[in-house]
Parts: sequence; C-alpha cells; structure tokens
Amino acid sequence: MKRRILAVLVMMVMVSALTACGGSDTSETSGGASGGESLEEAGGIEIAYIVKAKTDEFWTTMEKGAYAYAEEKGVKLSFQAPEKETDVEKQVQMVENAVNKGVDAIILSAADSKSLVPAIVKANNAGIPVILVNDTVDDEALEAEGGHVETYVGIDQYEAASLAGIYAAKSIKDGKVCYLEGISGVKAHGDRLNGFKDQVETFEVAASQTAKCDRNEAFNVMQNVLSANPEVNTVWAINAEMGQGAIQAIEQGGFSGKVQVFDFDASSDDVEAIKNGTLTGSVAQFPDLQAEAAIQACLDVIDGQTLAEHTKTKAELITAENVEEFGAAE
Amino acid sequence: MKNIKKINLSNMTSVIALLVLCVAISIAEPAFRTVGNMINILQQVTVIAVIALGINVVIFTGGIDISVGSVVGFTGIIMGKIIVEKGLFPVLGVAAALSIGILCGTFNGIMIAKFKLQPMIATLAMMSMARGAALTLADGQTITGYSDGFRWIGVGVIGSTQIPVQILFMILFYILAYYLMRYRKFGRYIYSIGGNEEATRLSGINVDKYKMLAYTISGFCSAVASVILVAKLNSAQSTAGENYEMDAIASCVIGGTSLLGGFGSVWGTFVGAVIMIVIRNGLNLLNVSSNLQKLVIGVVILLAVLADSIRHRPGKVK
Repeated sequence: MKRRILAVLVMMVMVSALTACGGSDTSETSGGASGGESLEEAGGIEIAYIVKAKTDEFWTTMEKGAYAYAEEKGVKLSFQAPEKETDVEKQVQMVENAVNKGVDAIILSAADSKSLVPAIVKANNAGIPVILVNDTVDDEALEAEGGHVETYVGIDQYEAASLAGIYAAKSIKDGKVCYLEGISGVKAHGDRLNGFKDQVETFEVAASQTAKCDRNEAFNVMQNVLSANPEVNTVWAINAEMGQGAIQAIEQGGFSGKVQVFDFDASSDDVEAIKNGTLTGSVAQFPDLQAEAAIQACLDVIDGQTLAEHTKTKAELITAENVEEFGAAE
Repeated sequence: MKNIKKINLSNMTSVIALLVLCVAISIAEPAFRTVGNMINILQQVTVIAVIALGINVVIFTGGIDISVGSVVGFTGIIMGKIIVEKGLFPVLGVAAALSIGILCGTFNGIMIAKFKLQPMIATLAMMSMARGAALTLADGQTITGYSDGFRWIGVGVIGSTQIPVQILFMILFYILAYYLMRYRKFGRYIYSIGGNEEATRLSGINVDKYKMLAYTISGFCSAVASVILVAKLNSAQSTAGENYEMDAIASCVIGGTSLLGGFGSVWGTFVGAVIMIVIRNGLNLLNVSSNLQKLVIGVVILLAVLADSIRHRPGKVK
C-alpha cells in the first residue's frame, strides 16, 4: 500500500516537473498562431491536415497532392487520419491535439457534420483558423456553438452528383435503380445521393441502402438486391469503393452488361472499369486539387485575407468518352 | 488475501512503464509535456477509463464482456431520444441511460451465471443486439443538440482551477470502485470467484449473485461512459463506442489485470488506460500514422500479457 502511494506520488512529481519545464511552450506556440505574423519562430508555417481515414484511394491521392503542394510552398504539413471513417472520437482528439500543439492552421474533412463542432470551437478559441475540405459541417450546429470556419474547399457535391444523374436520365429508359448510400451524418454523402436522385425522378427505386462506403458491404448488399430485384438496370453508388463492390456482385451474379453503374471519385479501379465497360460513369473530384486549394486557403488566411464561404473546386463526369484523357492526366 | 497484497507489484510495473513513456515522448516532442496536453490526455482517457473500470470487475471473476462498446452506443441513443427528441429533462435521459446500462449488464449476468452461457458468447450476442437496437432506434443517424446543463458533464470546468468536470467524475468513480474492491466483502468475493470459483462456491458464497453483479456493474459503467461521451461530443452516434471494448480490455491487461481472473487492481487499470492514451496522443503529436499506432499498442499489450504470465509462473503464490 505504502509503496504504491509512493509510486503514484513520484509519478505525479516527475510529471509535474516535466510539465513545468514545458509549461512556457503553450504560450509561445499559441501566440504564433493568433498574431498576424505569417511565420513561426521555427521559420515556417505548420498545418495540420486531418481527414476521415486513409482507407480510400481518394484520401491517398489527396495526401500526395497535399504534401507535394506543401513542399512547393515550404509549409510543414502533418496529414493525419483515424483508421476508419466512422471513428469520430479519434478524429476529435486529433483536432484537439493539433490545437494544443499550436499549429498555424487546421484543414479538416469532418467525419461527422455535427460532432466535430466542439473541436472547431476549441480551435477558434485558440485563434487557429479552420478550413473545411471535401466535407462540410452542419451550419446550424456550428452557429449554435458560436463556431466559425474560414471557408469550405470542395466541389458542390449535389451539383457534381447531378452530372451523373443527368447522363443516366438521358441514356436509360425505364430506369430501375438501386442506391448505395454512404454514412449517415455525413452531409456530403446525403447531397450526392440527392443530386443524382433528383435528376432521375421517373426511375423506379428498387432499393436504397447504405453499404458504409465499404467495398465488401456493397458487394453483399448488391448481391441481395439483385436476387430480390433482377430487373435493376441502374446503380448509383456515392463512392468508388462501393461502386467497385457493386460491379463485382453484378459480374459474379451473371448480370454483366445489364446494369449501368455510376459511382463517385473516379479511382484507378474505376478508370479501368470504365475502359472495359463494367462502369458507365464516375464523377471525378480531383482530391489533389482540393488539397492544393485548401493549403492555399490556409496561407491566404494567415496572410490576412478573408475568404469566400465556398471555395469551389472542379468536378467532372468521366465516361467512356473522356476516360482516356482523364486516365492520362492522373 | 495474497491477491490483494500482490497488487503493489503489478502497479509498479505499469507506473514505471508510464513514466518511461512520458519521458521518452517529452524528449521527442516538446508539445507533449505542456499542462494543456496533460489535461488533454486526462480528458481523452475518461471514456475508456470508465468503461475499463466496469470490464475490470468482470475480468476479475474470470469472465469477459465485449458488449460494452455497443452498450455505450445504445445508451447514447436512448439519451438522445429522450433529451433532444422528446425534449425532456436531461436528468431523465441520464437516468434512462443508466437504467438501460444496468439492464443490459444484468441480462448478460443472468445469461452467464444462471444459464451458464460462456461469457464471450453471451456478451457477443448482447454486443450485436445493443448495436442493432441503437442503429434501428436512430435509423443510423447521429442525435445532436443537448442543453448546456447536460453538456457541463463533458465540457464544464471547475471554477478557477479550470479542471475539467469529466476528469473529476472519472477520479470519483475510480475512488468508489477502489473502496468497493478493497474494503467491502464484494471485492474479496469477486477476486475469490476469479481465483477459484468452485472453492468459493463450496465455502457458501452465492457465486451466481456476485457474477451477475459484476456484469451489471460493467453495463452501468458503459452507460456512465456514454453520458460523458455524448456530453463531450454534443452528439450521440448510433455507431458510438465501436471497438471500445478492445481498448478497455487492453487497458485492464496493460494495467496488470490477469485475464484468467482473480488478479489485478483498480488503479492498475487506470494506469493502463492512461498508457494507451499517452501512446495515442504522443504518436499523434509525433505525426505517426494511426495505423502504426495500432501496431505499437499491440506490442504493448503483448509485453503486458507476457509480464503477467511471468508473474504467475508455478512456484509463485498467486
């Protein structure tokens, strides 16, 4: 008993001694972020780029684009993410750690449109600008907490999705559609679903289910949908992984050529699939360009500029017609 | 009785490990050793630490409870429905959540103690049921928008000291648990059941009742953790708590609790939880990918379990 108390006391003393040494650091680093200075004492700007996960090619493309641009601009970048897109608490902790570290700006792709708001407010209070990329947060929730973001960098999800919807409406008669939804609570996914849906109002909806952005789940869901509804001729998956899963289910189920599949993100698997005809179209959103725009937005804010609410980036529907030039550019 | 005395040893190892870890990370990354970061760490550990507290008791009896993560999610949604959607007093929501937690735990306890189901299987079933219930009730959505009064649990600080309320709640719970395990017969019986269930039963102790109580406590702790989590994030996700059971069990193991039962301590588990968060926090500050963090934690768990098995080599009194 005595030894244990002693151990705990020693630990507390040592830890407090350490923090006493480090105590001054907090004031220095946060001072650098809130001032108008664009350079930290260390001689460079530090940005924390926090996304939802690195499991999808979309994120790794974004990461490459981010580091490339950061190097070009001489910015120190830390690209972080939890293991799964659904691990919201971990992402919140990452934002908190970045705030504590005193970075000069935080770029965030929120894992949940409402749960990240308290963390954003913490960043606001520390004077660290927050820029959203690819995923928005709920405006009402943000306002209710008195939070503030500098800008949202990304495509207009709804508009981009409607590009695919318009194509589908034109090329398919008597559409019977299956929707593969994303993760509830992520506004971007909802917008993508509706963007396509609203263009194909005459289509009959055979099924609308979430496969949580996962390829394996999408495979299973698609297989089940096809057994119950073999006349399905259109599929809209709100991300590439699910699109690929659906394609696998279609090919393996013997429905090859009978279903037109559209998905989002135009991954390299998607490009291959479009070339060999198993995928009809995919909406590309150029994550590397988004990363560049986000980092540039940070630099602009640190420089003192006020940014527009939405920094719109490019989105394009890739089909058999333009897949060659898209593939070459990637 | 020897169990309780031996606790000192297991505590020392984990405390020393924690110290070494803190020193090492502090040298590598100065941002680690700020007061702000220390508070951050303690705040980040609250949810896991409270869940681990509950699971710890179950593990002492030689059982396991993998439903805790799902119970966190389920109770969170219950609170969301009552406080946000029905607009009732937060106290009612919290009371409902705690009751559901107790119910789930007791259900597990009955399945395991009365129906003699294997703990892993019974709690696996509860894990699925509770998660399914949460997802169905909330339609997979997240429920946000809690009152400031409720949120105080997660984001409030105590006056001028600026100590976050959630840290105090966590410490309070641990003190309560320590008292229960050390100074009440409940604690002795729990250790005894884990050490040798048959012998305990033969000495006239109602083993079933205490085993059930252990699982009830586990469910209750999950509910408490859920209250803190929802207050912190201002939202209850249907997927909240996924995989938390793994982190909680890891905390117990790293802290010196033996998965065979009958050995370990309450504060050891706290240290174990802190070690896990320190690793996560430190590696995060050092910009190490969270994929690699998992690897590191895996190695730490392995080392802790190895240390545990060495301690229990034949010839040494358990």
